[in-house]
Amino acid sequence: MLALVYKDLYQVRKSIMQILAIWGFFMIIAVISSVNGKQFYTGSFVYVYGFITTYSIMERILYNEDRYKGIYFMKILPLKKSMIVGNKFVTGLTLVILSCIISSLFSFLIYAISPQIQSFQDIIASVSVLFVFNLIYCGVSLGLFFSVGYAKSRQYTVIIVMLFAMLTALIPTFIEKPAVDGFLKSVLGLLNQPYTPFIFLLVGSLIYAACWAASLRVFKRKSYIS
Amino acid sequence: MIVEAKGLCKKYQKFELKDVDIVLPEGYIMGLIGPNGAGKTTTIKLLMNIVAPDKGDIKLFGMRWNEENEVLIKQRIGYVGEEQPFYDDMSVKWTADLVSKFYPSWDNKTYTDLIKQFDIDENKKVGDLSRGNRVKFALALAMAHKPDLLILDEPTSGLDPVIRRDILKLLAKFIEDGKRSILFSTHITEDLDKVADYIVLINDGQVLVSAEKDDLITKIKKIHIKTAEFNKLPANLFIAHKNIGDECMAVTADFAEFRRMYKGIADKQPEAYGMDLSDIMLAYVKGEIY
Repeated sequence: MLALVYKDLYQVRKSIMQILAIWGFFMIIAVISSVNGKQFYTGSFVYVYGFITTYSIMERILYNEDRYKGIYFMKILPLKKSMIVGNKFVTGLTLVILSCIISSLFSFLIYAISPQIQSFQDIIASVSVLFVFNLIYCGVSLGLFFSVGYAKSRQYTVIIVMLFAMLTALIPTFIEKPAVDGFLKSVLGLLNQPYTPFIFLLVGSLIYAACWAASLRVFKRKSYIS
Repeated sequence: MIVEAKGLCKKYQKFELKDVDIVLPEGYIMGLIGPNGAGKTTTIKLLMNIVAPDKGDIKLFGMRWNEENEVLIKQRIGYVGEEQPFYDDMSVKWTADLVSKFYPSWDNKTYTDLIKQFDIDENKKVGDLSRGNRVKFALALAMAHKPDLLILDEPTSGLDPVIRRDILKLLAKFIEDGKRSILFSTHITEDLDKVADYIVLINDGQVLVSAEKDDLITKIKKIHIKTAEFNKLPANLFIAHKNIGDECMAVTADFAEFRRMYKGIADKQPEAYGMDLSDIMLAYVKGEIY
C-alpha cells in the first residue's frame, strides 16, 4: 500500500514543489506585511490555498492514472481490488493531512508575528474546516473517478466545486435579505460553538469512509476500468 | 493443469464470446490464433481477471479467481498485454523498482540479465522506448519474478522479424524445465509454427479448433481430386473447397479418414499437400484455399 501511495506522490512531485514554492512566496509576503503592521494575510487564505493545493494535486494524480491507464497497470499486478481502491483513498488522506499541516504552519507563523490578525482558536477552526472540505472533495472526487471514469468525474467535480463557490459568494447577498437573515445568522451562530470542529471532523470522516466503501463496491462490480 | 477454463461467455454491445474452453497443461506453449476481433484479447482478459466473465469457470493453478486468490494467482503469472500500460513519464528503473515490490519471487539478477540482453537503457523514460523495446521491457518485467505461466497477448505484432525471433527464442528457453507454460495469442501464425504445442483457433467469439499443433498439421491437408470424386464424399469431411472445372481443391478436417473413404471411390492415392497454420486459419475462418 505504501509503495502505491509513494508512487502517486512521486509522480506529482513537480506539482507539489510548484505549489510549495507558491506557498513560500505568499508566506514571505504575508510575513513582511505583518512585520510592517499591514494585513496582507487573512484567515480565508487557509481555506482558499489549502483547498487549491489538494484540488490541483488530486486532479494531477487522477489525470496520470487516466492518461497512462494506471488502473489497468495495477490490475495486472498481484494486488487485491481493495488495495487498488484503498491506495487512492490513502493518497487522498495523505494530501489532505499535508495540506492542513502546511496551512497550520503558515497560520501559526503569522500568529506568532501578528497575534491580532487571528486568534489561536480561529486558526484551529479554520484548519478543521479546511480538513473537512478537502476530505469531502477527495472522497467525492475519487468516488466519481471509480464510478464513471476520469473524464466524467472531472466534469462533475468542476460543476460541484463551481456550485459551491457560487453559493459561498451569494451568501452575503442573502444575509442582507431579512427573510433569510435570521436563519443564516443562527446557522453561523452554530458554527461558532466550541464542539463544531469535532462535528465537522466526524461528518467529513463519515462521508470519506462512505465514498471509499462505495468506490470499492463499484470497482468490484465493474468488470474493467481503463 | 495450469489453466482450466470452461464455458467462458462474455457479451459486449457488438461482440460476444461464446462457450470458450481453454485447457493448458504444464510445460507447453499454447497458441491462441484468430483474425483481429476474433475474441483472443477478451479471452486473455477473462483469464487474467481483468474482465469478469458473464458465465463460465476459470481455474488457474487449481485456484478460482476471488479476492483472496487474486494475489496468489497473479504472483505466479507473467503478463504482457497487447498494449503495455506503463507510466510513460517515469524511467525504466523506477517502473521495475515499483513492479518488483509486488513479487516476493522477484529475481533482480534475472531482470538485469534480460535488460542487458535486450540492450535497454534503464535511465530512459518508458515513454521514450521504441515499440520493440517496450515489449522487451514488458517481457523482462513479466519474466523477472520467474512465473509458472506466461500470458502474452499479441506481443510480437508490429515488431520486426529480428526482435520476433529473439522473443521466440526466449520463450522456448522459458519452458525448458517442463514445469512452466505459455499462453500466446497472435495473428502472426508463423511465430506459432515454430514454438507452439497446442493451438486454439478462435473466430467470431467461438473456438473453431482446439488441438495439438502436430495433430492439426497431420490431420488437416489440402487435397487435389476430381470434382466428381469430391461430390461422392460426405461434406463434413472438408473445411473448405474450390472447384476449378472438373478438378477440385479441398481442405480435409481429418486426412486419415478422408484417405480411408477415398480408397472406396478411387483406385489411386489422392494428391495431398501439407498446410501451415496461416493456411489452416484461412480455410477455417474464410473458407479460402491457397
